[in-house]
Amino acid sequence: MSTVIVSELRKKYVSRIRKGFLKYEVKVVEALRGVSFTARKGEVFGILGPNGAGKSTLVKILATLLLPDSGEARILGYDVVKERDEVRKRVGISMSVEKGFFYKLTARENLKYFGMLYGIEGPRLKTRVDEVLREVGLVKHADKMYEEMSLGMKARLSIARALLSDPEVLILDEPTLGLDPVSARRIRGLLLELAHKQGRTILLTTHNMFEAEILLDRVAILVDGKIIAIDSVDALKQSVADSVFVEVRLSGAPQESLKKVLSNFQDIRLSTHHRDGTVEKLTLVVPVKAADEALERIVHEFRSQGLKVRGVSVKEPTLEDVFITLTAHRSM
Amino acid sequence: MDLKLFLCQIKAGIFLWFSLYKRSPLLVSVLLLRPYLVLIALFAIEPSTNPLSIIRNVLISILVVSSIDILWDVASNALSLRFLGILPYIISAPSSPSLSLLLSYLPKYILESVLKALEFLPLLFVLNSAQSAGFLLILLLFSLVGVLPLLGLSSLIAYTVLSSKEETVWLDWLAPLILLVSGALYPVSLLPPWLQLLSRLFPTTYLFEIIQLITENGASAQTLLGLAIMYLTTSILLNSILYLLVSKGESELLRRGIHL
Repeated sequence: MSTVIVSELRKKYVSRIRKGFLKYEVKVVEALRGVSFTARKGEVFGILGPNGAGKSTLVKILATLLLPDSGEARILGYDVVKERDEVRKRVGISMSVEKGFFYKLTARENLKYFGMLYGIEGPRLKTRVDEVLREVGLVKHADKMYEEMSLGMKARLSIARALLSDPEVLILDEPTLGLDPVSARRIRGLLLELAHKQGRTILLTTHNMFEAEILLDRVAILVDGKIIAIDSVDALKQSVADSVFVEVRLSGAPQESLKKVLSNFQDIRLSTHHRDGTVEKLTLVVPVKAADEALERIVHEFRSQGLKVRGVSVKEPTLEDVFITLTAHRSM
Repeated sequence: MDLKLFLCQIKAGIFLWFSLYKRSPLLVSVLLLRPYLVLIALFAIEPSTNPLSIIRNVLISILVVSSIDILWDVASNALSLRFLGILPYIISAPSSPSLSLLLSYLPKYILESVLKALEFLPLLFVLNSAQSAGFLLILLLFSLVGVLPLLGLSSLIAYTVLSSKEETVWLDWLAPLILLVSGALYPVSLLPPWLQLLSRLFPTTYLFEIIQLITENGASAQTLLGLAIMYLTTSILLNSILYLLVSKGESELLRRGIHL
């Protein structure tokens, strides 16, 4: 059953940029260009995209914080524009992990305030605050001032607030941004439990490909305001089955030489490039039909530039590879 | 609007500001000091030892401080909420964004008004022990209810500031207007004719005139009633127009997006 249905959403921002005392330049940015998708009950649905792709705009529209120019979005059957209050009663939002609370109040006081703001009162308020604090593992820190909490605790508190009204749908904007690996893992575990065990629909944005791969049931890749792919992580990996992903490890490689080698390849593209200490890790995308002779050619080209090849292997594509391949196809 | 939710949001605001003030005694001290500073300034302008004249200045100082606060604080509260990243969570409460925004401020205003009125009780008692309770009631009424008609204007200022990219410039530009309508530039007779005409549009003008009359002997009930009618009429007219503008401001803010 679809709990979130988005159909042909469009949004333009018109801004005036000051160019002189009374001179302005009008700038139009098309943030969303006909976005459509559905998210199902109990699913963790992710929106992945580079900066400026329109992720935040989409999340704000669904959270009823922004009006679309056209198109329609329904959450649990309620229109996010025409039935705003009904949507708000059923959706929990977290727009930032590092702020969004009163610094001089404790975690419990903050939750109590937001609970009342959302219409929860009396004994139910106390019960609900205790429940969400337990759920996110903050009972021990409930009476700590917000300003004294770590970023990981703040992130969990933000999810606790989103859960206060016991919503069926959660909308989370980068819920693990800036968190250390332990805190991020804890949040991911919590989100999986909320979706898969409690049946809530979670809609989130993330930049973190590793996280997306282990957390998301389905992914929409948003580029320049349009969804260019939407499916499960495995299915998206299958969609790049016409390519072989080759990982090359080099040591002591000057950037100039690397660039020169890469420019020599006609049909081989660079997908990702990471540095691990003194080792450069490159993932190259090779068309399946050229794969047989590609490994040999890759080693030869790097060696001819005097680069030390420490290893070459064919690897399973990651979501990051899929993302880069799909976005590269688009920009070609 | 759901009455239960409305009352719940008022309670939320009282809980919030009470908790914040509990931890900020310095803020409370500054808050209590301000009306006395205005009173001292008024005394410096017009020194008088006549108890009724001092009581008049007490009422004026409360009204000046309250009207400046109400005009300025809805916008500054909204800006603080934006800087703290709290605004989206207030706007997304299940009631209209304007109301949620206003209710996040109003309990602060109520708490402060009561505190400001109560701090003058000892002075009122010393000046006129027989009528001190009556004057305290007037003081409470003026500070709690008297300047509430300015909420429409202050909401509009808040939306203008929130919709603007250069909010500090807006606040600078609006400062003279705030001073004008708050009554801080009174007596009105000192203003140029066009400003005198403009000041007639604002309910606070009539409140200052009411203060003048009730602290002078011989004010007729008919004149007081006339001023009260003018106060109510301008309040209703001004807020009806401003309601439409605030609704437009709310739509504009949701169209442009709330900065996080």
